[in-house]
Amino acid sequence: MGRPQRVGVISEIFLRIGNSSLVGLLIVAVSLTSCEATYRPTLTRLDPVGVNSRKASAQDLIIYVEEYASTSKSERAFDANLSELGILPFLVLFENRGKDEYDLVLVQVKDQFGRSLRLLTPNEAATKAKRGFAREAIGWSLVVPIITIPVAAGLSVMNAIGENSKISQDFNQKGMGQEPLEPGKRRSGFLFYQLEQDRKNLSGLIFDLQVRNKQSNALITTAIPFPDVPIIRD
Amino acid sequence: MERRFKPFAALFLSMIILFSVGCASFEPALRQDALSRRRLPTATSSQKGIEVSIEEFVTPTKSMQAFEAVVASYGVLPLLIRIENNGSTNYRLARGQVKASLGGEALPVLVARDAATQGAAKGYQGNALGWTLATGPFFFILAPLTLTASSAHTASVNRKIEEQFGTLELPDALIRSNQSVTGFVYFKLPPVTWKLENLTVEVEPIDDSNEEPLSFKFFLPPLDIPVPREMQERPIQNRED
Repeated sequence: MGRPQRVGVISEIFLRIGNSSLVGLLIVAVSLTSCEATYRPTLTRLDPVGVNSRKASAQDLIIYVEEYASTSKSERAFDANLSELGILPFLVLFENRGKDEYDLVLVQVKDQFGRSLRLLTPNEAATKAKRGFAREAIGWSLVVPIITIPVAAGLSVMNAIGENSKISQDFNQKGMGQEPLEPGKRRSGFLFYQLEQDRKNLSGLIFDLQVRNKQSNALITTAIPFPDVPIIRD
Repeated sequence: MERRFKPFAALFLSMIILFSVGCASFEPALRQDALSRRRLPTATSSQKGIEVSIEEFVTPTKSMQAFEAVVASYGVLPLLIRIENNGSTNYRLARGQVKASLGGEALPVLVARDAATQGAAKGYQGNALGWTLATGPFFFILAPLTLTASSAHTASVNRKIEEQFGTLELPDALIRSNQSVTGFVYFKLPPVTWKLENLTVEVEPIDDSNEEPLSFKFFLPPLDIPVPREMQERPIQNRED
């Protein structure tokens, strides 16, 4: 038995690659997972001067605070609606226009009853965000042909691991540092708070700040009330 | 052993090539890092050391460069805004402080994701069916696979489109001395608008030291919006349908 006539180079490639339809299906599954969900936030500047931002000054310090509870803002910054995941993000900017250094003593968000909301580390917030992302990634693995679901699911998990590390890195980069505020310098970043289950809006929440002048040792406090912004949870 | 040409193998290889090519199909020329460069604006004005420039992206060549689609034809008006602070005080600008009106009627601002969905992403939805038809005689056997694959690909491209609209969007910014900020603000056009006449744009940065706004008002020249091919072939319908 000889080789059939008129089988050219391209057909030879097809023969070699396509000995099994399963191989083809697996390759399709692999190709599909390359189109999977990716973490793509689009916020380019950490300036809290948008809608619902608040500004206050305390001696030489200027403080800007902006809620990121609304869906469009949260999606821009973190590619997810964080309030749906129980996280309340605030973008904060400190600007030290004086000549003295300041220590951050206390940065907290209190409710109308004086209770403090739990401050989450960027890592804790990222872990909660990853759960939402994992659901999306697993969802993708189910759209491939049934025979390749195990392969696609495995690839999805690998993809999710890669994206999770991006999420952690991004949350840590965007998180507010706790170092002293040097004279003439500014620092901006996100603070993440645990959202109360029954909270429907930001009304009654107060951003409470205590800083200490390192030269005079004077304690400066300031309180910034938040506007009545609804929190949308699907 | 006899070896035969396997049409399914050929088809799978073709699909793989399609996937690899298709995944990189949204690659607009204008990237976020290029926005900081000076461009030739449609209108410009300066006061108190603040220079504001506006550039329309209604023209098909420009729109294709930025979004790979003529987004104005689908009801999205993209305006590139640049604010340069050559003064000594800081200014704040949020997207809400950029307003546009057409013939005296205020145009609503679209967030990047909505602008992407309305202006560009729709154009890719036909791909799913197109790919399925491309399998020719294998249509009936492979339709579930190609449709699924195409949907996944389309979703991926749509994510890229959203990302492009998002990263090019004008950020809310505190513009310090000798700094500038550039980005797009997307406005929603009234349905069936094929000519922009009496388009005015107002930009109001706020002096951060005394909270006083600076007011810039621009009257843009008339612009024609190309009618999309699918609307040329049938009677014009409401764009929101």
